[in-house]
Amino acid sequence: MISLGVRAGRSADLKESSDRIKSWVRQLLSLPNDAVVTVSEITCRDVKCPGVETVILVMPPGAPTRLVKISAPLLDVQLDDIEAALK
Amino acid sequence: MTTQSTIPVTVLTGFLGAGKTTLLNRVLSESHGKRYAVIVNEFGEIGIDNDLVVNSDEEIFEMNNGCICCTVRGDLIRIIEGLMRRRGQFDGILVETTGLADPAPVAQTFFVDDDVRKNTRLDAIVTVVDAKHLADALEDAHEAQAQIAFADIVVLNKTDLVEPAALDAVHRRIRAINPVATVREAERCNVPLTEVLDRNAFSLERILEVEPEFLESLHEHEHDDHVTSLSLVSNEPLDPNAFLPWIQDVVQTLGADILRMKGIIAFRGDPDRFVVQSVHMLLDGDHQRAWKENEARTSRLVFIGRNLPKELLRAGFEKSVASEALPS
Repeated sequence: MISLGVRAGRSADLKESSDRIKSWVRQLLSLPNDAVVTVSEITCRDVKCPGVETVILVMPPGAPTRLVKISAPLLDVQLDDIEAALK
Repeated sequence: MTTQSTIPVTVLTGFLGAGKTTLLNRVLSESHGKRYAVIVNEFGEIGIDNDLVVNSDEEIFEMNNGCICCTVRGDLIRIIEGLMRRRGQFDGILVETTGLADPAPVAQTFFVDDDVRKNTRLDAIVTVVDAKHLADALEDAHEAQAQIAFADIVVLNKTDLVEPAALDAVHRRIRAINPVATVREAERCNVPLTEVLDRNAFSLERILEVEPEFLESLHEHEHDDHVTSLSLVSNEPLDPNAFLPWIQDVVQTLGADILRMKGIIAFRGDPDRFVVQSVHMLLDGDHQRAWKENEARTSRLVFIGRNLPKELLRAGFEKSVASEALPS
């Protein structure tokens, strides 16, 4: 969900960034078409959690889910960040 | 939170033997004009051969560092992504959980994962309970209390197996845990499907859609239940500058124990109702429609959770009451 009084408008920029990140992940990991990749920007209210993170879930068919985190807002994630996170 | 293009998802919870599978088979077999993709734990329990029935193995993981509100069901993310490739073949999704499942990760999956949120909307959490065995289930497992606490709709099944006095006690027990759920009695899960499907219960438009007189006469219940509720009411307008920071702080600091919260708030000098809801630390709130001319501008806030610090919450709420009216 979202902050009080601020509606969650998923802007075209966010969609574009999300699609770009998915494409990079698929290429870097040579994923098959039926693998699922999701990209989420998580802003948690828990005081123990960090601020804004981009969380990528890689779900190849028949294999466990891999969770990759990048300490940056979704719009700021670059190819270098994903390469480093996937190492 | 919702758009018309998103697929409604109904989450079906309830203890083993309560009647979930009966309800599920009805959704799959009756002619109600809609097709549902159904995500189940065990194929064997479903008596209908249907290519829209998908088996899942519960995969719970944390999107963040052990925070309860970022705990999601990975298997649902996978399956929903797969179902979206078959979009157009079904009108809604029904997710069956195991008897002992904690509903929180299931619900949170629909708010935390951006891709799931983009394609679907959580329509309602429906909990089926067995009128005869509910008291035992509540004693034996905290999950049963959590399932009632999270429910938007409680199907109180097998009412034919209990005497009226016992049924009345079951109603009171459910109300003590969750005063805002809609409770529908049923025998062999014969509740009209229109009362459990396509309810839009998480829409801010439909928060607290229970009888106003019930909320107004709501009294505190004293039970030994692990999960309890607290209802706060004010006939005086609240100060948004006090209420909004307070409710965000409450959700942030107590969200692990607050399973659900719902409220309709009348702010001082504000012609519109402000509605608010949360699932653990996931908070949503916005202005809704204008108060009607003859409508009492009463603020109501309901917390459902474990170990609720009731006096602390009550004191915070009372501090949010506007100290003086705006000059007219």
